[in-house]
Amino acid sequence: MELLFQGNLVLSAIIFAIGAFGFLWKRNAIGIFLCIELMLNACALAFLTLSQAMGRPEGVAVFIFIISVAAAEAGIGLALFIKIFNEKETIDADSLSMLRD
Amino acid sequence: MEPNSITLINSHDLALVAPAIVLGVSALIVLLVDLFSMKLGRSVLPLLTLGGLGLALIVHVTTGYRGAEFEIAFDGCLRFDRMTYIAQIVILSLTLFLTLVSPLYLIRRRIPRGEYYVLIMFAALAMMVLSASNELLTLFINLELLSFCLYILTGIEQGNLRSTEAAFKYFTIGSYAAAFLLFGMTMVYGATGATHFDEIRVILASGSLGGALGGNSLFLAGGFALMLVGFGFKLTLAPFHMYAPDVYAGAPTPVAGLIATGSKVAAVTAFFAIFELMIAWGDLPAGVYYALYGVVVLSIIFGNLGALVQPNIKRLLAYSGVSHSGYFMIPLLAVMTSPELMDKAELAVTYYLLAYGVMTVLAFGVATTLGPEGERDIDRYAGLARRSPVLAAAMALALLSMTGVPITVGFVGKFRLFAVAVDAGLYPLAIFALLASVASAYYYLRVVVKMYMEEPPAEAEPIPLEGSNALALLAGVVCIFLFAVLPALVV
Repeated sequence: MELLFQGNLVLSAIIFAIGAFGFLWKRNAIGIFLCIELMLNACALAFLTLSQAMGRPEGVAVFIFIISVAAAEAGIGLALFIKIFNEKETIDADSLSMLRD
Repeated sequence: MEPNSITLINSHDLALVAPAIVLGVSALIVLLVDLFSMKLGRSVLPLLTLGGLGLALIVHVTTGYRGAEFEIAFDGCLRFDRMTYIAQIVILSLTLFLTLVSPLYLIRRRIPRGEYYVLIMFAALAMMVLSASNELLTLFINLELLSFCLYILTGIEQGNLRSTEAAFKYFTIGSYAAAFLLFGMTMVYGATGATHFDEIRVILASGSLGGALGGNSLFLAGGFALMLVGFGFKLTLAPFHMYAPDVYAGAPTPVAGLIATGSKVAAVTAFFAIFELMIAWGDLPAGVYYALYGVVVLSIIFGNLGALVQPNIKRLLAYSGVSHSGYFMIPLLAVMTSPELMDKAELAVTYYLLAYGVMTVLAFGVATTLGPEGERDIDRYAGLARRSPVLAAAMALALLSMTGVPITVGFVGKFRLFAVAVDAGLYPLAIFALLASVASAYYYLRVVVKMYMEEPPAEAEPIPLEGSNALALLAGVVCIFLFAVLPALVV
């Protein structure tokens, strides 16, 4: 049980780090978006694990809300990417460079 | 406070959130009217929105918080105190102001009106609840609701690549920041075992962290640091401010105004609640203090340097917002060195919420009224005083107030912020902020000089002023003087 607890937290930290560094690395809009999803889901895993380890219910509630927030985020993000594709014929982040100093 | 107990929703709690309920219901009404009305019926949408916001404001002032030290609602998830009360009035008034100035802008830019007004109202709802949130999940959900509304509003313009690009940048960076905030919350939850701020405060004050990760205080410190990063993005504090100028420049001007004022006012209020938790923890590592100190200094430097060379008015306002975010954090540093200044710092921040909101929204209101001319180069403002004395005067007043010229809210606000730093003995910081604010006069007055001293372009015509815009701008100008002369009206 203790092993599972620590393992889960380490896993969640690793997933979060992959998302955080991937975000800086990826140039494709879908890739960037997936990295954000990874980060959110790492948090969800950590909340569930902690909630079970401490025998407190809040973590499960937070988990459910993270899933729904991630779903809403996916809706907005994909709609935005379709809009970008319609206007630019690409969803490469480097192609969006009109706004700068 | 027993979070696990089941409480029936009672009238006391409902009365405290009544303005938010009014906002939500009127947003749904606007949505339905937009859905079932033919083209002509659309002109009624701004009126409905104004009605909803006005009613919420009236309900808020008449039924809300009653001057007690604080009131708790919904099992401790929401907390209403003086700061929340004033922040909510500011949020509703700012939204009302932006709704008044935007109808003509929306028609000119062909922005879908139904969606615009609905999202504005939901954003206002999210800001209201965010400023009152007293629990980690409530805070996160409302921050996300607010951000989602703003992402869509930023990219709402059809076929405008600048708007789309701004929405993309805002969406990706905003979500990235939210993930950091959430991970910070995970660590705080793991260390303390609670999500209610009241409970966390008690646990931190007792000195023994009860959570599964409570054995190592590094987790708690890391959690607070990550939350600071997450809020740093939302508050456009340097070095997390890079996206702000691009987003403001690309977003429709009234939306940029909402991002710059309303969402910042709500985020500052929410951050203050988190800050109170940090203060409650006796063993807060000194690193957090130095990190915040660095963030404040960097924000003031980067904000002023960025604005110094800026030819675009919206980008200039974005950079000026970065430095103002830095000023907001000065009393927090003072409290970290001398905790007995808490009350004074809270008053100073609350007053500056109002001052910052009024002057910034007034500048964005003028830019919105000017339409396509007002949102690009500062050169377009040349000779504005000849073409429209009212607009020029309102803009000049907003900019002078941001500089901190006496008898404006900006002066009183900055004076109070710096006074807290002086009381805490932070003389270098106070002097630095004072000098930076003197230096900022250069780029603010540059615009004023252009408006009053230069000739307008040859082909320029006088600018007509709509009734609703004139009303809103007049109200803004009155507020700038009124709250400076009678600060006692606020706090």
